[in-house]
Amino acid sequence: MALSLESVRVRFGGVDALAGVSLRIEPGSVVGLIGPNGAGKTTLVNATTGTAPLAAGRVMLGDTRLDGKPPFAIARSGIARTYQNIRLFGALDVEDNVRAGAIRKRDLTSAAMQALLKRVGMQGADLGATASTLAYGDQRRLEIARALAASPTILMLDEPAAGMNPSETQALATLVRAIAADGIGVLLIEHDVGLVRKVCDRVTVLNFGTVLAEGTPDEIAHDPAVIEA
Amino acid sequence: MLFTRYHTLVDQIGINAILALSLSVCLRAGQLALAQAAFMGIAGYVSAIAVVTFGWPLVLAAPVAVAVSTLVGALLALPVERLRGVYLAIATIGFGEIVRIVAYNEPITGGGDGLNGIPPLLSTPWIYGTLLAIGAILYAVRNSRFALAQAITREDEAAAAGVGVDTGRVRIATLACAGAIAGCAGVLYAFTNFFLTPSDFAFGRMEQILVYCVIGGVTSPLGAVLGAAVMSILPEAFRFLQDFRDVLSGVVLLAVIVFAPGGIAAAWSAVRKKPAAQIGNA
Repeated sequence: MALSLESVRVRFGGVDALAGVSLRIEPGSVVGLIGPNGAGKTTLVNATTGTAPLAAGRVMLGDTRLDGKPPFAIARSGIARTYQNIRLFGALDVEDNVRAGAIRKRDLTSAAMQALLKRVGMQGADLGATASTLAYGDQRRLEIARALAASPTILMLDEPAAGMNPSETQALATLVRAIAADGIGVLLIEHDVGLVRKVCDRVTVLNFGTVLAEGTPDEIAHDPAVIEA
Repeated sequence: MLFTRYHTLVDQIGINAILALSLSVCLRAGQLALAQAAFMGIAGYVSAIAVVTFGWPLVLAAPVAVAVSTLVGALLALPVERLRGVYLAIATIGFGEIVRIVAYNEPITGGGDGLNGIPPLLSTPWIYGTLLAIGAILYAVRNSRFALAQAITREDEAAAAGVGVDTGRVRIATLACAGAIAGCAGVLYAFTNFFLTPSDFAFGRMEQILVYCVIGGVTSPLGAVLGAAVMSILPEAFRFLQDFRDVLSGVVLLAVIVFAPGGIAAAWSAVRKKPAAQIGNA
């Protein structure tokens, strides 16, 4: 199922954080969302996942309207996300963090959990390690594993490469493409333009809460409006 | 002989341990909901009035009383749903005061004079049987999805909602469980103490229950039971200090907060994780 944001408007006080933004994520595709700080990228994810109420517009997952539903209901409909500032369940261990992602399903088997951790590059991780004690990169990976444990239709990654070194970023690029190859639609918010060009099928550029440009990575790279901004 | 001498203390320890488990369930979900004494009072009065005033058999009165305290717990969760931390604590303490004042002023409860003539239908085996049953249930569900939902709601409510957990329902279910467990303590208290007064369920009782959990470890059911046992025995063991024995309890509480902030459970866990060689060298 595709995720569609249609003329979404979010207001904070008297300011339009998003002013009529439209975006579509097809199953199996990776859509990049770039823009300067304060452009409204994270607000767009919050609006989709129900943590920022819409002033206008609508959010559709297939034929199901999501806006107005509480965050837990939106998550249950198949939207998973990671956070710009990592939000693991810090006092819980690795195993419980992954189990939390699959809490709406039957318990994950040990083999399925190991497969998930291997997929995000955490093979051999200590399942009993407290999440808050993990290295920063592992915390990012664990957050992705938790999101994948929910078997989402749409995965929204908010700056997943932040703080990662080049080899970790390369592994992340491979992972994002593999996730999309499984039919999951991915929204990738990222400042690393190289990563965006490498993994995204299409890119949307936000600026001051509006869509500045939209197209393939190459089209965006040569868009005069983007270059000027 | 020894048991006969100390059976009141033994009963107190068991009832206090059940109350500590009730609060521990709330703290596991990150809810500083301090209404356990009120739940206890509600179930105690309901069961006692049903038996003494209306002539119900205890086998009927006890489950009805626990059902009432469970329902009250669930209903209390609704108006306080948006409250967290100290605000939730104050609101639930306020609820406890309302229950106490109603008990003081309603003729059916006996008012300030209390409700007398409650038959001694329960005894120590019932108290410890109930404690064991509650402990066994909590142990059995420790790895359940509900227990995980409670833990992640405590850790980060927004992120918990982000993985599909209806945190509002978790909070309602948690307070209902707390109401049920404290309700069991209320019934046991009523039918082992022969009379009830509103002051049995006042803020002082709630304060003690909180101390049991802090001493034992706020999210550990076993720790809560140990905390209740230690803090119930201490005042009796140091009875010779007379009025100063409460000071000793305060000193123990301060020592735990300063030197073992995770309580008995965390201290024990740290010792168990410490390699044997290190312990030997310590």
